[in-house]
Amino acid sequence: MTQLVDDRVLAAVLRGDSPPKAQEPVYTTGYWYVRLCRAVLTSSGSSGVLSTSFASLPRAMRDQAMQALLELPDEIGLESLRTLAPLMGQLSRRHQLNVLGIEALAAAVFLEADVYLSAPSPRLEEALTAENRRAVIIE
Amino acid sequence: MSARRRWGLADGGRVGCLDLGNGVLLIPGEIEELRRELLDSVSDQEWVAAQAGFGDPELASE
Repeated sequence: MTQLVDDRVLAAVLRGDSPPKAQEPVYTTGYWYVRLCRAVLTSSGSSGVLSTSFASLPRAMRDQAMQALLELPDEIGLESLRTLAPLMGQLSRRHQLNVLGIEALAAAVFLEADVYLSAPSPRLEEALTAENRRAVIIE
Repeated sequence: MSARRRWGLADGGRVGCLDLGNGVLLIPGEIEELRRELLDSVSDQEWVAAQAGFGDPELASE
């Protein structure tokens, strides 16, 4: 069963931790990935890492290096909006979710995935249940 | 030679390679280790801010 993970679970996987289901394909969504990147790039701690590793680089090169570090490995799947948009449109007619939530719901339905969340998301969980998808909270 | 000395690689060791698209950046140590440091640098409080969408309702966990 494919596992769809949120940003914080994705961070753990990228750090080298085992995914919730060791042998199953790992996917995330575009907006969870955006949120992860934003969390890292705006983190006060990341400036410490940057200062030790990239301090002498020109700004443009530092930015490119950060982007390279945050590149999603091939083994993490991500369905594009090209694939998900029609389904997102359909699902948004019966579920009141923001764009992050509707993308996650559509990805879960499309991939027939279990969804692993690092914190409760009651509205998303309710929508997943309604669409016969399972949500697991990992805290 | 000077990079090897500065990076403590006189007796060998690992360097990481970052593809910047228009060039390659070599760094002392492994890329995976640097990536881990970056990911670990996000505090619990900052993850809470992420779950709140950084103030953007469209990015918030609902």
